[in-house]
Amino acid sequence: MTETLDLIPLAPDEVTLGVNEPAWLADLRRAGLSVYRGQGLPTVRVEAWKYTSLAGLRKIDHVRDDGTLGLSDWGGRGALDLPDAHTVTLVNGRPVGVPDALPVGVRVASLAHLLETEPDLLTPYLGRGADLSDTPMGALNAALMADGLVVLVAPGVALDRPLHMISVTEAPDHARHIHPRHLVVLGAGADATLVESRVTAPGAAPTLTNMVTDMVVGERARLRHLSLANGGAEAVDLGLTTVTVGAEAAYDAFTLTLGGRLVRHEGCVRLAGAGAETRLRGAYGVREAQHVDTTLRVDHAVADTTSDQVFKGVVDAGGRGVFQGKTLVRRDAQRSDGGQLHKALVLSRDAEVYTKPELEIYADDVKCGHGATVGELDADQLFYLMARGITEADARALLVEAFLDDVVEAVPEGALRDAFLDAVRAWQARRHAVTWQA
Amino acid sequence: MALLEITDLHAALEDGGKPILKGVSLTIRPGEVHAVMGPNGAGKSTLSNVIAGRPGFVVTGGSVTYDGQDLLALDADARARAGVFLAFQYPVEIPGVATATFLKTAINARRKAAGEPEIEALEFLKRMKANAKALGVVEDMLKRPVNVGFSGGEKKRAEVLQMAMLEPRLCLLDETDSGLDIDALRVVADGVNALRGPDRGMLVITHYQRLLDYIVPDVVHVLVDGRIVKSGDKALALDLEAHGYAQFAGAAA
Repeated sequence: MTETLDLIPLAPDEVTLGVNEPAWLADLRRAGLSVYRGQGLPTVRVEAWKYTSLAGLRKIDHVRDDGTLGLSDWGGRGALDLPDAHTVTLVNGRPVGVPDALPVGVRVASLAHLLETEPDLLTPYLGRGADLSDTPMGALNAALMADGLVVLVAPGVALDRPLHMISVTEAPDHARHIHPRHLVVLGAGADATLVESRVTAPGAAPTLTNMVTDMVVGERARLRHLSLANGGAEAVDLGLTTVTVGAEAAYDAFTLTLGGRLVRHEGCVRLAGAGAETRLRGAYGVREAQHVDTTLRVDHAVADTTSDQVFKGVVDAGGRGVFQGKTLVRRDAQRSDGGQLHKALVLSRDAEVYTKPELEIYADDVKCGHGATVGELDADQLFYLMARGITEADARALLVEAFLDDVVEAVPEGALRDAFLDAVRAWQARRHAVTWQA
Repeated sequence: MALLEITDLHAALEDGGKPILKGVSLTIRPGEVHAVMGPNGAGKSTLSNVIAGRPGFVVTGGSVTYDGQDLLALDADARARAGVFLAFQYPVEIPGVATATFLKTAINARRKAAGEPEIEALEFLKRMKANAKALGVVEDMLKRPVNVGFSGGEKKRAEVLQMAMLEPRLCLLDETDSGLDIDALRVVADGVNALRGPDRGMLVITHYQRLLDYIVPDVVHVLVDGRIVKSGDKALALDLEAHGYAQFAGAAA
C-alpha cells in the first residue's frame, strides 16, 4: 500500500480492512469513498477551506499506516501530565492496551476489536454523526478507518476520574497518513470527563492524521471534553468531532492547540433535545510556519437550547490563525441562546488572523451574538511589569498567559487545569527561546 | 556618593514632540527625601517617567546617574532591578495576572539579577501579609488580578505595598496623593515613612502641599515649564501653598 493521497484506493474492496465486516460498515466505506472521489482533497476554492490550504500534502508521498507499529520509547513528551487519570495510549490511532480499574458500566475498547467481536454495539452510532457529503476528509476517514477508541458509559454511570487518551503519532521510516476513528457514547444521566493529548514521537517523518470522533451525549448526561493538540513540526492534524447533545444534556469542550505544522479542529455540535447546552472554549498559539484552524458549527435543532463559543489565539510572526464559527438556529428552535467570541493577540505585524463568524437564524425568538477582536499587547501593561523589574520576555509571557486566562478557566480547577497551564508554560518557554533570545 | 544625580536633563516626547524638560538638575543623597512641586504641565510626571525609563520620551541632553552608573543606558526593567521604583500616578490594571504572582515574579527577577536564590514561598507570604496589614490592604485584594477592581485609594496602597516588598533604593512617587481622601492619605504616607532610611532616597512628586504634611521632605524643588526655578527646605512648600505658582511665571519664561 503505497498510494499517495490523490491515488486513494480505486476499488471499494481495497478499502475494506476488517476480515468480516458487517454490511452496514462496507456501505459506509463505499459512501465515504464515493464522496471523497467526487470532491477530492479540499482546496481553498471550497468555502469551508477558504483559509486553510492542504496543497502542501500533495508534495509528500504519504504511505497509509499499516497498524503494525508499537509504542516506541518516546517518554510522553508533550502530553498532559495527569498521573491520576485512567490512561489509554494509542499509536497511530490504535489503542495499546486499555485501562483497567474502570467503574462498572464504563467500557473502553478498541474499535477494531469491537467491529470484529460485537459490531452490533456500534451500528446505532458509527457514521451517524455527520453528513459525509459536507466533509470530504470525514468521508475519507469513513472509507479508510481502521481503529480508534470506543468509550461507552452506561446510563446513570459517572466515570470516577478523567479518561486520558494519549494519541501518539509515529512515523519512523516514511511519511504516513492515519485515519483514527473514535466513538464516545454517554447514556442518559451519565457523566464523564475525556481528556486527549495528541503528540508526535520525536524524529517522526511527516504525518497526516485525519481523525474523526463521534460523540453522543444522552439525555441529562454531561460530557467534558478537554484536548491538547501538541504535534511535531511535521505533523498535519485534521480532526472532525461530531457531537449530538440530548435533552437537558451538556457538552463542554476545551481545546488547546500549541503544536503541529497544520492543525484543523472542526467541531460540529447538534443540540438535539430541549434544554441541551454546549460551551465550546479553546485557545491556540501559533508560531512561524504554523497554521491553526478552528472551525465550529453549532446546530440549534430544537427549542430552548444554549450554546457559547469562546476562542482565543496568540499569533507570532509567520504564524496563521483561522477561526470560523457558525451558529445555526432552525425554524423551530425558539428561545435559542447562542454566543460566539474570537479574540486574537498578534505579537508581530507578520502574523495573520482570519475570522469568519456566521449566524444563520430561521427562528424569530432567539438571542444570538458574535464578536471578534484582533489586538496587540498593551504597551502600558508591558511598561508596568517592566517597571517592577520583570524582563521584557517574562513580561510578555505573563501578559500572554493573562490573555488566555479566562478561557483556560473553562478547565476544571485542580490537576486538570494545572496540566493545561503547564502545557501553556512549556510552550511559552519554547517561544522565548526562539523569539527573544535569537 | 550621591544616590541620584540629574544634570541638565532635557527630554521631549518621542517622534519630534515638544520639549518638556529643559535643563533639570538635582542631587539626592542616600537618606534624603526630595519633593518636586509644580503646576500642571510643568513636567513633573515626565521627570519621574524619564528616570524610570518609560518609552515614549527621548532624552535630548544631560545625564542621570544612579549609584554611580548611567541610568539612561539601562532599560526600564534593568533600572527597576538596580533598585529604582516608580509608584505610578495611574497604576495599570492587568486582568489575568494575580497580584501575588506578579509580586513574586518581580521579587524573583531582582533576586535572580543579584545572583540570589528565589524567595521561599513561606517567607514571601509572611512578608506580604505583614506589609498588607500595615497598609490596610485586605488579603482578598492580593488574590485579585493586579489593580483590577481596586478603588483609586486601593491602587495607591497597592503601589506602596509593592514598594515595601521590592525594597528599592530610590523611590519615585508620582502624585501618590491624587485620588486619596485624608484617611487613605495618612495610611499611604505612614507606609512611605516606614520605608525612609539612611540608604534610601525618595523623590516625591506632588501638585499639593498636603502630602508633604505627612511625608516631610528634606528638600523641596519647584518645577515650572521644565526647569527647577527654586529649591529650599520644607518651608518652601508652605510658601507655595500660600502664594501659588504664579510668582514663578516670570522665572520660567
